[in-house]
Amino acid sequence: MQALWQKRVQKHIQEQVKYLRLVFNDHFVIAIIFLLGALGYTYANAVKGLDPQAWWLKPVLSLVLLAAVSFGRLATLLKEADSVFLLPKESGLVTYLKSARLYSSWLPLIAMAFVTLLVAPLLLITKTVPAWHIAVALITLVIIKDRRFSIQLRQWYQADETQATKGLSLILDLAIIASQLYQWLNLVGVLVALGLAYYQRQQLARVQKTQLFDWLAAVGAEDSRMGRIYRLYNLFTDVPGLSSQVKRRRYLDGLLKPITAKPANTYLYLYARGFLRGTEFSGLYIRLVVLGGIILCFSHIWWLSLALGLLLIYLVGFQLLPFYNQYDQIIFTHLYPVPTTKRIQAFSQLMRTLLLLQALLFSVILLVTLGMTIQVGLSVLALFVLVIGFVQFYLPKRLGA
Amino acid sequence: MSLEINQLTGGYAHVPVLKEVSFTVPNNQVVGLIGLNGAGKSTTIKHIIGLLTPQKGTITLDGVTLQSNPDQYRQKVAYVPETPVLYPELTLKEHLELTMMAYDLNVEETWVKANALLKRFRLDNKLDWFPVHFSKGMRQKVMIVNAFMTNADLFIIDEPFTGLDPLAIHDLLEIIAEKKAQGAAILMSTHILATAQQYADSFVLLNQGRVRTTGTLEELKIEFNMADADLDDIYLQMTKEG
Repeated sequence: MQALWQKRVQKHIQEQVKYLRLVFNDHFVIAIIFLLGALGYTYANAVKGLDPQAWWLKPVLSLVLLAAVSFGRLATLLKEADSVFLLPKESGLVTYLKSARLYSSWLPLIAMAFVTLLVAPLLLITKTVPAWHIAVALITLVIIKDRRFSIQLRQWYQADETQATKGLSLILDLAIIASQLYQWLNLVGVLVALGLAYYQRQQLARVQKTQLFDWLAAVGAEDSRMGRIYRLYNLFTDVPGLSSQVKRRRYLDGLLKPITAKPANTYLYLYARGFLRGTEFSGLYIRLVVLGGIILCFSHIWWLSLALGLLLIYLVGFQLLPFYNQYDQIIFTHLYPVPTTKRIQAFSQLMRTLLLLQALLFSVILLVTLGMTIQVGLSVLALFVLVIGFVQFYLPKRLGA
Repeated sequence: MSLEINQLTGGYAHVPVLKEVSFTVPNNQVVGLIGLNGAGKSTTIKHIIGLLTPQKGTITLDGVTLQSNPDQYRQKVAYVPETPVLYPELTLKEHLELTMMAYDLNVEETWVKANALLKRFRLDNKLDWFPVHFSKGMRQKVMIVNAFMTNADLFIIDEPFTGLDPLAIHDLLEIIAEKKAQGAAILMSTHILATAQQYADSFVLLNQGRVRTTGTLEELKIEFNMADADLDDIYLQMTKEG
């Protein structure tokens, strides 16, 4: 079983590297560096300008750390066929799962350390705790994560009578994390966390000796975990065999009304419905626009806002381009007696609407955060010029090729 | 006037799957396209609907080729694929609407036809459903309704009988007969030889990318020298020839 795990992990990592290379293409890396730079800059400024006595500081810190501890799940790399082929090997599964647990710990550990260091300045400016508390807090997070892994593993054994209620466990975690933000109380918190984690490990060992493994639950959990990862990749590149969800979204039907059922609207009819009801591209659009809007709210320098605004519009436009080919798999798209130029026109129309909406939102944010000045006026103009240029000139060239 | 395939050589990239394939599908006729897996049936169909470009030879439909006038050519063809493919984000009703738009059909007239077909296939109460909620057979029925509500001159039906329930098969054969009576040409590829023998007027036997022979069942019997054979026997005989 150990050998099986080794083989699986190797293949898994290979595949992740392959996809990550596709996700972090040159384009995207440049955009990310830009965004991180801007975010870091605004964050540093925000910390400086913060009132250390603000009442909400510690509650927010607790929630952020709780979110950090929730990142990353147990990766078992189990496959559907395992429930048939590995059935006779169930006793060896304990060692397999041990390796899986160890492997799954790395990513959350890095994420927790990163977040803890990131929010550390916020805690230190309050001047209520010494710096070594940060280290204790991180250790506590690791212990909480360990308990969570134990609980998760326990749930994959059949007939486990003592299912911990999720809500209670969450409140407990929050209390332990909150204790880390106060002097001396933090040591009590870490001891409580340690006790709980030990208890869960004992319980897990007991269950693993006495109960049967719930293959269906474990394989299902692993499937949905991988599904989430691939859906994330799918935002940037094509993942074969992955279809995104579709939602009816009846409340959006009003937006589709203006597209009347006439031959000239064939592709617009298709693209507009596909965009609004599919979760993939509409989700991407909403996420990027909202995230961009929030980032712009924090920028108080006009040229930074302008650069970010332009970059985000280009980024959204660029990321939406593959939607043009969304229906190439469906044979009828090739059979319609409608020329390609009409198809490009329809796609341009959709893109124009979406990007103009984005430019409009960004303009409003710019005007609100920076006020009415010549620079802001010119920036707004530049945003709209970019949209028109992108749709009018760049798009036909890209799609025609 | 009809579909005429003349000395068609073609396939994927530079590997010719089809070699000098010639046959015609006349109006008012159902032609059965018969052959083993890999004989070239699907490739032939892909050439006819224009997903592949011939390396040699021509395909003309009522005198129009895909190269000379693609939109007019496509207007004349309706296709029911072997594996039903639907747009995941469109409801059944919207699929039909989209087809009407794409083929510039008269909306009112076509809905009359579509509603009759939907009722026949017991889909008339599922107009607002999404494809994910349809079973494979139901999806296939959607494809059939979609194709047969058009005014196409040529209907291409790829292996229609697997996945449909017996009642639906019966309905489909009836609809095919109606279209045939109205003057359409119908090309149907299938492995269900008993049904093909019963409903097709003539046959095209493909073997290893070549047309082995064409003709009615009577003509095939003479060709293979098997007096009281059925299509099954002839088919087996053909495969033995290798």
